[in-house]
Amino acid sequence: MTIEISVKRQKSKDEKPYIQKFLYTGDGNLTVADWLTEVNRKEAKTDRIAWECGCLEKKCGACAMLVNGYPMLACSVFLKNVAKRGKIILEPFHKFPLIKDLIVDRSTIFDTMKHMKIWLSEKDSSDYSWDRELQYKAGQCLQCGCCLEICPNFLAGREFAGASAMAEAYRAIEQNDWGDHRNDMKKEYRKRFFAYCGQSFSCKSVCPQKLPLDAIQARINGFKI
Amino acid sequence: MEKTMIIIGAGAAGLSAALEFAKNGIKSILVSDMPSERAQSVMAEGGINAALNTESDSSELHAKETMKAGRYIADPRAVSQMTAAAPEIIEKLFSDGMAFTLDEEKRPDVRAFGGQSVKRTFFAAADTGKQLMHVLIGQVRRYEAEGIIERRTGWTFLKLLHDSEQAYGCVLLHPITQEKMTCYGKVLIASGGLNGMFGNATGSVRNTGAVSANLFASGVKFANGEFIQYHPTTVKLHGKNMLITEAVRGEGGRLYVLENNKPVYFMEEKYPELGNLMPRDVVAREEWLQMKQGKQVYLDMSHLGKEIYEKRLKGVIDDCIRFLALDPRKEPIPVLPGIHYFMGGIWVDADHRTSMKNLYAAGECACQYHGANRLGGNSLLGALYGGSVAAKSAMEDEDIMEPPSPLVSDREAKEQTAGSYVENWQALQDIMKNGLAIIRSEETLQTALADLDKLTEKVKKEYDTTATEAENQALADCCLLGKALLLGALERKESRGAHTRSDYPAEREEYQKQTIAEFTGGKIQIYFQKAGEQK
Repeated sequence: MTIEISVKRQKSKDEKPYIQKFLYTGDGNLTVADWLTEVNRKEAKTDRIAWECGCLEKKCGACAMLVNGYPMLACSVFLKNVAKRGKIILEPFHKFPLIKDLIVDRSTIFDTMKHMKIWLSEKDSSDYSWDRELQYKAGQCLQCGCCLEICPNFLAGREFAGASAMAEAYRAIEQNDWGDHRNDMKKEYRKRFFAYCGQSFSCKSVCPQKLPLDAIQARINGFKI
Repeated sequence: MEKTMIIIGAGAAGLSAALEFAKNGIKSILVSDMPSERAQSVMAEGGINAALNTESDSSELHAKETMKAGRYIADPRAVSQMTAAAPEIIEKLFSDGMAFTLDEEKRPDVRAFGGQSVKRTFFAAADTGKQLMHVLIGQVRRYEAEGIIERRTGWTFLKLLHDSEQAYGCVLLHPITQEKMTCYGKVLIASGGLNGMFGNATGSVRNTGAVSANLFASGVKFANGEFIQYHPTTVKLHGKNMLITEAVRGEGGRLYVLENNKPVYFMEEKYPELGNLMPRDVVAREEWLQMKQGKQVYLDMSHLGKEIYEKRLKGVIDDCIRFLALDPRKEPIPVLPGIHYFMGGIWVDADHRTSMKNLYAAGECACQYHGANRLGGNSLLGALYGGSVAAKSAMEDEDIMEPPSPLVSDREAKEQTAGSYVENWQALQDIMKNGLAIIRSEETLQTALADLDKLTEKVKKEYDTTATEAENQALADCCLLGKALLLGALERKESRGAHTRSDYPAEREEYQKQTIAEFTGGKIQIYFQKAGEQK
């Protein structure tokens, strides 16, 4: 099969974006990440496409980007499955500040969790009947940003924290002992998530880890938020 | 001068070090090109070892088995200290909220792992590294909010600032903006293995080996570089390999090659008793022998049945479908050995001090704990324990002196000519893959050395203006470190642990030592010394 792959490129946020087109010929059993690796070794080797990757096995969340307008991890989608009428468009996330080509600045994800004080200060050791399975799942979040990119309420730099911080907040609030820090986290959660979430759950549908974001949200909302 | 520690790498070892500093009120700068959520540590599946000190187990036995797996070249003092600390590390992780898989009494459960006579591997389903990192990241976040840990995410290590005596800090580079930043302080390296120099490792592609190579080129000693653990069942992606868990063979998966279009189950034929379940290194070597004859090795699980697929091997099936477009219930998986771990690394003593004053190293980038081969479940342990020990040593050591001014880096920029970074890097990977393949010999190593010398000459003349300064420098440094690894393998005229020489198949007592590589006076020197003996 032949696929026309368009990559949105931009040297920096101050320069103009442009589309570079490549023609792929093969069986299409190649992930977008593998294609990017190959194209940077060949056609684009003197002007490599900037993109982030780490594990290439859906474990680190680095390679999140828009593939035909849909946020996903480049490492786990095949060209043949994503091509629409023989075409694929690769773009950086729109809701985060652009750094270069397919790389955006996702630091807001991490800064938000810091502002929300999401950590364990004193573990509540009295109760081992927590739902460890749900805690485990919440801990599987890759912080890739797919849920934020698709969310109708999220924009980097605004107050709404989005689903990734919500999943983290759930685990920290559930595990933390009662006290000021726990109350602070609840307050932050109310302010930065509960007040804004429109319950569209597009986050759940797009999550590469398939986290049960509805169940997690139901649980955290049960903590007398 | 303000007392600040610089940590290069924000995986398990780097975070462990940062937390140790923070608990003692010492500020640190945590440098990584990506957030900790993207570090290789999150990929660790299996578990983390600790002896429960029950009737059947003890930290002494854990140490003994670690030493045995490492074929007695690891530092016994360091290993004993690590295994003694292990139970407390597990307890701490549990009390810090790590979602371990629990037993009936709601305590962390253990499972059996290769090379160990008792069950002592704690785990969190198939995502031990991810769940462990989740806990560490949360703790670090707290100290970040308090201003004790300062993250410099998006920056890479460019070079060490040092003189012949000691390190004074390092220069960081922002790979996108090309901005440089100089940081003064003691430097703790936790930059992971040498994956990028080979291109067929199962770990992260971001662990390029560039930091280790720069340190080696700066005169820092390297140890045991020839000991590279290969996993027998990996599949090739582009730019790296992906692991297919041993559980496939554990559940009855069979390895074969085709001869005259008929499957030959080479492991079962040669080893009738254990067959496909022989130890990793044996399976990997047998596969290599088949591959040398031009044959493709396949892993067949198409006969295992629905129940095993659904209950035990679902993850593998999903991965094959997702990454290979292959359904292993219907067709065999083409496999090959891939690099799983670098036992060797920056030389450190039992307290994680390198050969250069004010420079420390921990985690996979350091040579500590695993000797000639690593026990499964010991890498996360080594990273956590090593990171905290390295930090303690840095806090104990005398404060850094003011750097002599002006502090000139030892290597200047080269004349610029057009070249190709991408091509040269791939050439380096090919040379390293062939030279340090599973089975080595004088002949293959000499061939690799000759090829590498040619490449090095080419790299010396070229400066690819389409690549960053850090990339150009890394290429030159990695050629140098690559040569040191090949020379180490050449000088070690025996087979031990993960180092197999077809021309020297036996283990020899005179080599029950660490291989030390040192770059001094423009030359690489290789010598052997007992672990724990002088620097």
